[in-house]
Parts: sequence; structure tokens; C-alpha cells
Amino acid sequence: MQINNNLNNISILFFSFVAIVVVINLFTTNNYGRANQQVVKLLEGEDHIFDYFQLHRIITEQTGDYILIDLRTEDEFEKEHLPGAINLPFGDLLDSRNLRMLRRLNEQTPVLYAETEARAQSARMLLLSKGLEPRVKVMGGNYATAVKFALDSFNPAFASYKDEKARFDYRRFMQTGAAQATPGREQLPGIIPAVEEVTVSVQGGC
Amino acid sequence: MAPFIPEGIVNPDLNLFYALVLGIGFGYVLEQAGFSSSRKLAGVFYGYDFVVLRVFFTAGITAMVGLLFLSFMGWIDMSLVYVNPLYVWSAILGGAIMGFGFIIGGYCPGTSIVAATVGKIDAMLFLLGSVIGIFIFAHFYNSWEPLFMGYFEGNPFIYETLGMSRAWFAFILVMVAVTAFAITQKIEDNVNKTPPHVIEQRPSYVFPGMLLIVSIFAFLFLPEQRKSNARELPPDRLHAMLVENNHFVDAEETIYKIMHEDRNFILIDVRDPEEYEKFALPGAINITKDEILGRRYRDFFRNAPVNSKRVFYGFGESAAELAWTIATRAGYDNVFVMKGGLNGLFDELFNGNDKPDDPLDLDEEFRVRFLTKARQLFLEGDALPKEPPAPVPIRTIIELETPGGRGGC
Repeated sequence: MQINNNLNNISILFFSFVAIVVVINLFTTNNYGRANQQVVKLLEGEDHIFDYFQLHRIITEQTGDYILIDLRTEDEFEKEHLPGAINLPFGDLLDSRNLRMLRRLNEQTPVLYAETEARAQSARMLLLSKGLEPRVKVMGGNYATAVKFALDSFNPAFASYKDEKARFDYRRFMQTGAAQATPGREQLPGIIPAVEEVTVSVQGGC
Repeated sequence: MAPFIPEGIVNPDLNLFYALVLGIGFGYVLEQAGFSSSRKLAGVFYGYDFVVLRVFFTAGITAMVGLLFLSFMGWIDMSLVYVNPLYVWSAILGGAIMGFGFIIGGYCPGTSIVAATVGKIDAMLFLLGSVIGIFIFAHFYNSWEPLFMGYFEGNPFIYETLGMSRAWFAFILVMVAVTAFAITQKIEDNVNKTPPHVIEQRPSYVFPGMLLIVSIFAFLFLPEQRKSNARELPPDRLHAMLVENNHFVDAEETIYKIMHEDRNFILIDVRDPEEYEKFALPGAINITKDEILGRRYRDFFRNAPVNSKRVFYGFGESAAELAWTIATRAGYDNVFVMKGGLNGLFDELFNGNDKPDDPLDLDEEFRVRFLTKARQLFLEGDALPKEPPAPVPIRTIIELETPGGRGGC
């Protein structure tokens, strides 16, 4: 029976070690709802951008499919805001009360806007990493442009306004692209390539 | 070497050395399990000895539980684990031939080498036979090829085909294995007519078996992969940093650093590679937001010097802000966002005042002079680094290739 006791002891030791590792790991994990890589995948594309056509429509027709969420501070919201918007200051975005409210919006799609588009985008990303559904939308541009192009005088030419668009003819100023930014680097004698890049292939079998 | 090569702990050049160590261990286990005797393998088919089945099944479920554990901890990249490709005809025919050979010869390829090493003559002949077989196969390969490569089904997983989750499949397999161990033991005793006192003296595996079942049961309730790891920033901290808004670098600083070619100020273009090829700020490198978390740039971000700045920029601010949020959540320090992006930078350069409003405001005066100088830099197309950075030969793994459909035993 000596063998048996040793076996039991070793197995208890091993399994309790594994269990401790798992439990420690569960308790030290940050309170995220999605892994970072998953969030990055959800950020792809531009389907989540809410353009001014849609904004103009929901403001004029008063449809209840979308709910505008103003991420600016309370003071700014009090002063003026888009019609029908509710206030949710960016600083309180991750409060459990607000998260619960956003989760409960089943019928309506939340549309975030802020004083800059970057702020609304990062708010959406925070919500995604907290595990909210990826249907949350972000209004292109910022509050000022929305007022200018969708409220004051709706102009379809600016309907798909967004932050990430070239607004200057950059090729005039940076004529040599990045590809030629370091001219003839390979041809210069006596220069070793900075990084020797290797691809390691994994082979298997038994 | 599961988690070590991708994390760069173990040098992949030592692969052959680890193969040797693992091979010696494998041979030792096979010999210790008694597989150098041809009776062991044949015993499975006659019902008097199921040790082979138990050893290989145990090895299988141990490896499976280990993989689940490593995958849960995020220590292993499951996409890099080799999965045997499924060629239906090869599998059926090869399986039949192997099984037939097992019964007649009493060895499988691995055990025959072990047995030949300890000096069994039949094993040596078995090995010779396999070599002849390999030779014939290779010589007439062209004739077999349609059969050998027939009905390729990709690299499927059983649990995917059955439409169940990985953890459930593992649980069911462990239960099957444990049941099989108990039943084969009974069959063995019946066939061998083992006397009762021998059975009583056998060590009992009930306890370790129970622990195994409990642990695999726990995996049913654990996520396949953790949602966060210890290096990452907690969400409230990340949120607070975003609220603080201290992660911006303004246009003037950017231009100043470009003009002075500061090595510790690295511009990172987050736009698409096509846009980057057309034009980019001088000295900028291109890392799109999908690539930030990649293995390739891990060192670059983690080992940033203390006072250095890695500055993201795009046309506007949002893409860079997202890139910053991704990098900061991953725990990378010293990352910043260029205020306003390219649009903001050029707006400041070309739409700013030419003259300060108040002639006594010297700060403003110098600012305007600086901007005038910077404007010339861009207008003359001179915004280029004058010499390439000093090269340092470093060997880095940039990517691990996912295994293709070859190999196996």
C-alpha cells in the first residue's frame, strides 16, 4: 500500500498546485468583458459610423430606432445638445449604473457623440472591452460639425463627414513617400540590415 | 516547447537539442511500460494485456488537459499547434495496414525501435521491414499519389465536426478513457484468471482518477481563453487615463522633433499601408491598429526607453486614439497621440497667423517664427532624415509560420 499512498500524495500535490494557479489567475484577472484581440477585431470596418443622413432622418422623422448619447460634460449638455439626446458624461461612462442602462437598450441602438470623434470612438472601445454588444454606433465628426452639417443646414455633400479623412493635399508637402524616405539605404556599403528577420516554421507530428 | 518559443524565452535554434531530450524521455517511457516486448501490443488484440491502450490513452488525456490548461492561461498559441491533416483514404488504408502489422509483428514503429535497441532480433527485422516498405512507397509514390492525397478534408477537429465545445469534448473523452481503463482491467482479469489476492494488492487509481475528472469538469465552466492578463491595465485605470487626456503631443513638439531627428521620438503611422506608401511624416513607421498587439512589435513597445515617446498619428485623431487605447490596455508605456492628427498639424502650419497680434508677445513671436521655418521644411520637400539610423544586427522572430499539411508519423 506504500505505492498507493505515494501516488495519492503526488496527485494531490500536483492538482492542488494547478488549482491554486487557476484560482489566483481568476482573481487577479482584470474586470474586462472581452480580450484585447477580440476588441481589435470588432473595431474593423466603418459600419459603426453613423453619418449625417441618418442623423438628419432621425431628427426630422423622430424615429425611435436610435438613441443619441451625449458624452460631453453636464454643463455643456445643459447649454445645448442634439434634440432627443441623453447625457452620459464620459467620466461616468463605466459606472455600473450606466453600463446596465446601455445593456438594457434592446430596441434602440445607442449612438455616441462627443466634443471630438476620437473621444466617442474610445468610449465605444471601452464599452466593447467591457463586453457590450458591438452594435453601439459612433457619430462621424464631432458635436460642432453635426450641428453645422446636419442641424443648421443639411447638406448631403458633407453627410459622410468623419475625422479620418485627408483634408490637405499632403503629397505636395511630403512628396517622397515613406517607401523612399531613406533613399538607397540598401545600396550604401558597409551597412548591415538593422534587423535580420527570420520566420520560424513550426513542424509537428509524433 | 509550448509557451517558450513564441515568448522568446527559448532559442528556436536549439530545437534539435530539445528533440533529443524529449526523444530520450519517450524511449525511456516506452521501455518502462514494457513495450519492448511484442506480447504487450499483441495482447490488446487477444485481450490478455491492455497496457498499451492504457498508456497511450493516459498520455493522450494528460496532453489534452495540459493543452486546455496552457490555453486557458494564455501560455500557448493554439493556432501554432500542429494538427494532422485528414486524408480520408490514407487514414482508412494506412490504419488497416498498421493494425494488421501490429497484430502480426507485435510492434508499432516507436516500440520497434525501442525493442531493437535493447537487442530483440524480431524488432530488428521489423525495422528492416518498415525501411523496405518506406522504400517501396517512396519509389512508387507517383502511382499511389491519387490514393494517398485522396479526399483531403483539411485539418478538422472532432469537436468542431460534432458541433460541441472543446471543453465538453475533453470531458467526454476523459470519462470514456476512465471507463475504458476499468473495463479493460476486468477483461484482463477474466482472460488471465487472475487470483483474487493479486487483485487486492494492486495499487488503486481511484483517487487520481477522481481528481482528473474533477479538474476536467472545472474546465467546463472556465472560459477557453482569459479575457485579460496580468500585464494589462485595469479598465478603470484605462478610463481614468482617457479622462485625464494627458496623452497628447502637440503639433509644435512633433515638428520640432522631426526637425531635430530625435531618436527617442518615434512617429507611428496608423493608417493603411497603401496610404502610408503614398506619403507619411518623415521617419514614421507604419503599424496599423490590428498589428499593435502582434508578436512582431511586442519588444518595440515593451522595451521603450524611459524618456522616449512613441506617437501615433492618422489623418485625424480617432484612429490614433484607438491605437493608443489598444496599446495602453496591453500595458505598453510611453505611447502618445499626436493632437489633431495630420489634419491638425497642417492646419496649424499653414492656416496659422503670419504675424503675432501683439508685437510685444515674444512667446507668440518665436512660435510664429518657428512655424514659418517648419513650413519651409515641408514646402521645400526637405522633410527627410539625412542619414539612416545606426544599424544594429539583431536576430528576431518576426512571425511563427502556421504549420502546413505535412508531417505526422
